[in-house]
Amino acid sequence: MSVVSPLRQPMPPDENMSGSTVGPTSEADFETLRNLLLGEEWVDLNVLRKRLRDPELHAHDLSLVLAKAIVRASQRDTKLRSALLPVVEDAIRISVQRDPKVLANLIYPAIGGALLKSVASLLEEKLEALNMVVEQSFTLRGLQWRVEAWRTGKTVGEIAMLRSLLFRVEHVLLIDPRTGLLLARRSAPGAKIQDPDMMSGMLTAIRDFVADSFGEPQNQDLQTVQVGEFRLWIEHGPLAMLVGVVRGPAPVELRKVFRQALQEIHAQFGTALAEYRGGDVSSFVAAESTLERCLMGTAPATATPPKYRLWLALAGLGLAFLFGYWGFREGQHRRSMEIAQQLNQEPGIVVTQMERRDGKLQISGFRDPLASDPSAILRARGLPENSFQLSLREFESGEPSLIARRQRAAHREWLANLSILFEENSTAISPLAVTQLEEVAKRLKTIFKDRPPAQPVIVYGSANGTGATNRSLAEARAVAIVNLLADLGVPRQWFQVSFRLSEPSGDNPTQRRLARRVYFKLEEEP
Amino acid sequence: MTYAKVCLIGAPGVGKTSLVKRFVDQIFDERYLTTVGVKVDKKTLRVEARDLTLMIWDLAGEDDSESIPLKYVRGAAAYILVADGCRPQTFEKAEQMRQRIDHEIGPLPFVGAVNKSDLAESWDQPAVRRYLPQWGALCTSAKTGAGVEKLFQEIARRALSALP
Repeated sequence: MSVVSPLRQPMPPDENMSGSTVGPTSEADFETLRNLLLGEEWVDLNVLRKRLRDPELHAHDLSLVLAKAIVRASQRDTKLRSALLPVVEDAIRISVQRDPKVLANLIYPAIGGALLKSVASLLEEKLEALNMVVEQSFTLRGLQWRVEAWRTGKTVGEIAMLRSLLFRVEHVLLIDPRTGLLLARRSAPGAKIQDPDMMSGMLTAIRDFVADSFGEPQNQDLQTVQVGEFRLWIEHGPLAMLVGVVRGPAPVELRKVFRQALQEIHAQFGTALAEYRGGDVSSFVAAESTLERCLMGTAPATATPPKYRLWLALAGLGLAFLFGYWGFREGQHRRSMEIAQQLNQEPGIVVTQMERRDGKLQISGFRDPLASDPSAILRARGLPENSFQLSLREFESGEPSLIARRQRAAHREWLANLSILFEENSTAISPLAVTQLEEVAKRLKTIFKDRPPAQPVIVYGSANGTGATNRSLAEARAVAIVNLLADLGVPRQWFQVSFRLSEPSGDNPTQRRLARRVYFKLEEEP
Repeated sequence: MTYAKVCLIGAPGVGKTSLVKRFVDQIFDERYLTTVGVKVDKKTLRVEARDLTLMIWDLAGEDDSESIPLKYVRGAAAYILVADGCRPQTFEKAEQMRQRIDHEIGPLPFVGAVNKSDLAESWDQPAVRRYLPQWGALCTSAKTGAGVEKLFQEIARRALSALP
C-alpha cells in the first residue's frame, strides 16, 4: 500500500521532487503492477477499449451483427419498423426531389409490364366490339378480312383495324437520349430519310428544349411530332428512346408495338445502354431485328376498290361488269406503274404514290433539286402536259452521281468565295496562301476529275490602283498562282490569266488588303 | 462506325456557326439556333486509322455565361471553346463557360479556338497572350478557312480518346 498511495495521489512536483524524475518511474512501476495483477485480462481490456473508441473498428463490428439485429428486432415487435418508416419516407422524398428519374428507372421494368397489360385488356374489349360489327357485315372486304384473320390467326377486329387505316411505319430509330446519338435503325423498303444521324441529334435537342420550356413535369416527355403527312411517335425508356416515323393515320395499337419493342431492347441491351457514352454502335446491331418488327402497315393504296355486295358479285351480269372494271383498272395501273418505273430509275427521283384523280395522274414523291426535270421525262414518254400533276418534295438523295455533283457544287462555291491575299507591291505567295492553294488544287482536281473544264478557269489578279505598273503587278500575281497550281499537279491549260484593277482604296487597311488579291471564276456546271 | 457528340461553345458573334458552316454536312436551318438554341451538324473524319463521325451541337451564343443551357452539353465527349481574338471579353465569357461546365458536368476535354485570325493585326494581345497558352488553343479563321480543318481533327482526336 505504501507504494500505491503516492501514485494515486501524486504530490505537486514543486513541493517534493522534480516530476520529470519521479513520474515515469512511478508510472512504469504501476504498469508493471497492473500487469502482475490483471495479466492477459488487462491486454483484452485495452483491445476492447480501443475497438469501442475507434469509429472505424466499431462500425466494422456493428456491421457484422447489424443484419441479424434488424431481423431479431423486426421479429420481436414493430418498434424498429415504426422508427425506420419516417427515415425511409424522407429518403425517398429527397431522392424524388433531387432526380425523379432515378426512382422511375428503378420501377420501370416492374410497372411497364403491368401498364401494358391493362392497356392490352382495354384494347381487347374494343376489338371484341369491332369483331361483332365486322362479322355481321357481309361485304367483299369483310370476307377478305375474315380470310386474312383465319390465315394469320388474328381476330377479324384486329385485321379490320389494320386494313381500314392506311398507314405505314417508314423508319424506326433507336436513340441514346443522353448523347442524342443514333444507335440502330430500320427503314421500310423504298422509304427515304435525309440524315438519320442529324435527325436523331436534333430530335433529342428539341425534346430537351420542350422539357425545359414546359418545366419538365413528370413523365411529360415529347411523345408526338406532326410534320405534314408524317408523324413521329416517340417512346421513352429509361436508357433509350424509340422513334417511329409513321405515314398516314396509324392505329393507337401501334404504340403498344413500339413500347414492347423498347422494353425488349432494354431487357436485352440494358447494360450496354447504361454504359454507352458515345463511340462504337456495333453492339446494338442485334436490336435491328426488334426494330424490324415495328415496320408495320402498308403503303396507302393507289386506289380504293369500290364496295360490292356479295349477292351482286354472284349475279352473272355483276361478275361481267366487275371483270370489265378490273380489266380497265389493271390497264391504267400497269401504265402508271411503267411511268413510275421510268421516273424511279432517274437518280434523285422517288415516286411514293400515284393515283388518277380529277382525270389527271397525280404523282407524289421526292426529288433532289439536282435531279433531271421529271416533267420533261414524262412529256418525252408521250404524256401531254395537262394529263399529270407532280407534287414532289425536295430531298437530298444518296445516289452516288448526285452526291458527287453536290460535292462539286460545294467546291465551286468555295472556290468562288476564295481570295488569296498579297503583301503590298509583292507577288510573293505567303505560307497561308500555300495552304489555301493546296486546297484549291485538291478541289479543282475533284471538280474536273471526269472531264476537263469546257471553259478555262479565269484567274483574276488585282492590285490597289490603276496604271501600267499595277496592271503588271496584278498579272504577275495571277501568274504566280497559276505556276504554283501547276507545280501542285493542276494542268496549266485549265487556266486563263486575267486582271482587275481598282481605284486606290485610300487609308482603309481592310479595303487596301482586299484589293491585293487573286480570285477564281468558274463556269457553272452544265 | 464510331460516333461522338461534341459541342461548340462561346459568346455571340465569335464565329462558331461560321466555323462549322464550310466544313460540315448541314441539313438544318440556322433558325434552329434562335428558336431551339441549338443546331446539330455532322462531320466524318479519319482519326488514328478510324472513321469517326462527329455530331456537332452548335449552341447559340449567350452574353451571360449562366444562360448557356448545359442540358445540351450533357453526353458530349468533348467541346470547342471559341473566342474572338479582337474582343477580350469573349475570352472571359468563354473561360466562365468552361468553368461552369467543369463545375456542373465535370471536367471534359476541350479545344480552344481563337477565331478571326484573318484580322490578327487587330487582336487584343493581352487576352490572346493569356488564353492561347492557358487553353492550348488553335488560331482559326472561319473566313479564310485557316486552321479550321486542324481544329476539327484535334477535337475528333480528343473526343476519340475520351470515349470508353
